[in-house]
Amino acid sequence: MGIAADIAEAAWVTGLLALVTTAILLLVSPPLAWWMARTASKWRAPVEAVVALPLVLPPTVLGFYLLLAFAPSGPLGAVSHGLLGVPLAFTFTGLVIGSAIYSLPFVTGPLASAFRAMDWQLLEAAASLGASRSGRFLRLVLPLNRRALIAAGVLGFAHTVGEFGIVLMIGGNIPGETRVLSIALFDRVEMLDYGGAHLIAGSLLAFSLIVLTATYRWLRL
Amino acid sequence: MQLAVQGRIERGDFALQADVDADVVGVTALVGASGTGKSTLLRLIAGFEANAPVGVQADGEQWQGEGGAPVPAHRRAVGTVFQESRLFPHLTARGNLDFAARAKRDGVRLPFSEVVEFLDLGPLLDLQPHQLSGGQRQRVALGRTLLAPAKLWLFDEPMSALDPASRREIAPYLTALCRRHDVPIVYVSHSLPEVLSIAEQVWLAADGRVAPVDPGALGMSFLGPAAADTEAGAVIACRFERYDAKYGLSELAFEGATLYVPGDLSAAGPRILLHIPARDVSLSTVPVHHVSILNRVDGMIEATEATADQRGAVLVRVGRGEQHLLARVTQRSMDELGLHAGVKVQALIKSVALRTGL
Repeated sequence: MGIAADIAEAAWVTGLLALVTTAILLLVSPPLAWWMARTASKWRAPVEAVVALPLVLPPTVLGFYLLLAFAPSGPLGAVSHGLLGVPLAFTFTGLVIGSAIYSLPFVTGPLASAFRAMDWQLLEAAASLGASRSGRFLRLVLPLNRRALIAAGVLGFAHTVGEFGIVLMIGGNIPGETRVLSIALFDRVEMLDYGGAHLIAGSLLAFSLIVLTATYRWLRL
Repeated sequence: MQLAVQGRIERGDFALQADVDADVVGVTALVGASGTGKSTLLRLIAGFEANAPVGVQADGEQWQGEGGAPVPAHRRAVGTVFQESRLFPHLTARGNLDFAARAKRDGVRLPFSEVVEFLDLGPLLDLQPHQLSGGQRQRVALGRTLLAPAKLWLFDEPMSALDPASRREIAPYLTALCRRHDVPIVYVSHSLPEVLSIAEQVWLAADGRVAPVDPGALGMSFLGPAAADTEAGAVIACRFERYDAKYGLSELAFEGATLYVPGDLSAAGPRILLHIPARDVSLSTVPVHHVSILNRVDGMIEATEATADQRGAVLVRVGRGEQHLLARVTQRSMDELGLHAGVKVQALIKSVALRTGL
């Protein structure tokens, strides 16, 4: 396999991982962020702390614990492998779960901020017009915050593309399965192939810069 | 609808004792100075203060109170028009109306076309809220509330953003709707004349309390609580007799006397409340005939009181039957005419004073 094909394969795995992770996060995050923005529950602070953990923890710490959980004898691995026949450690599926947890604060955080800034008077108006809790969320909250939703999705995607430590811990380096661009870059540097390293690093840098510029421009519109 | 709102709500410096237990039929005017809790009472009924220790019952069903989870706002079948239009900014006017029309709950459901036609919303349907003027936004908001099924409507100064012409057009429509569909309205207005003429009952928010009052009692104290909001004046209850199309005047019976009020009030309820400002009432000790003032009411002075704010002005309470008028008279006139309690007088009321919401 040529160098370029190897990189292309890593790019494919990276893109697919980011896409699947983003899709999952866009399903999970809005209700979670809404709950965090509106609840008076005593559980809000602990839950917010757990969601925010990946912001402060070294990814390897998170990866270490996930690796233990994903092992066939671990709590998640036992259920997934034992009951469903789906192994988690060093698989794409496991990578998706890890990425989703790792990128969760980058999607949930901005959404919660946007939800907190929402005009609650509109929610009252919607309730007075007979819209139920879920109706208000689907027909008012989500469309009103579509800009924040898109921005959060883009951030989640870009952040997943850029992850390294957690992949290294739970995914390993299996071509076509768990080898993403950041790992491929690491390989190139280890092999002193600076040409390939430049290609990957430069592409990731350009991608991130373009995505963030577009997002910030969009947010200001 | 039998409606009860009872309890006490406290928010920092603000406290309100609600003592409402009334059969609401037609239009109920909720009056009082700003900051006295009118909007808070509406919020309690609508379900936006569901955790407040205030009991709310409607037709025997407990909406909130001790023992039992509160009924959430969206299931209360109460439509609210807020002071602000609160249109959904991501939807067109039509989208806002559709939002309401899709609601699934019990209550009267008005036809889309009728509401659009009456409020003249046709030309606005495809516009975004930010493209509408304040008055247009409020009209759309009004239509939106009317389209959601409801058994009770709460109007929090719905007309404040409207020009007088549309106000005069829309107020009779609302009262007619409310009677035709038997959906009672609780109507907050800072304009006593506007709201009284379309109301059958009055609730007063004052001194940290809100409760039903006898409309006639609104003027009992010379500068009563309701007057504090606007100006000294009496509130009288009349009965509609007939409309004189030739002169454009409605004839109202008031304690055996006849009052002439501009405009056709036939759409109002059987009982019409009027706020008559004291400054628009003059007194004569002899019956006056050759004068342009149409409304002349005989009565007897019951009491007088010097006003605090204006030097030389005296408020005079003139009784007729069970009710009374207030007149503002100078001290000089008091002395020259020998006005004091027990003197028979004729009260002359300028017709323009009889402004109504219709």
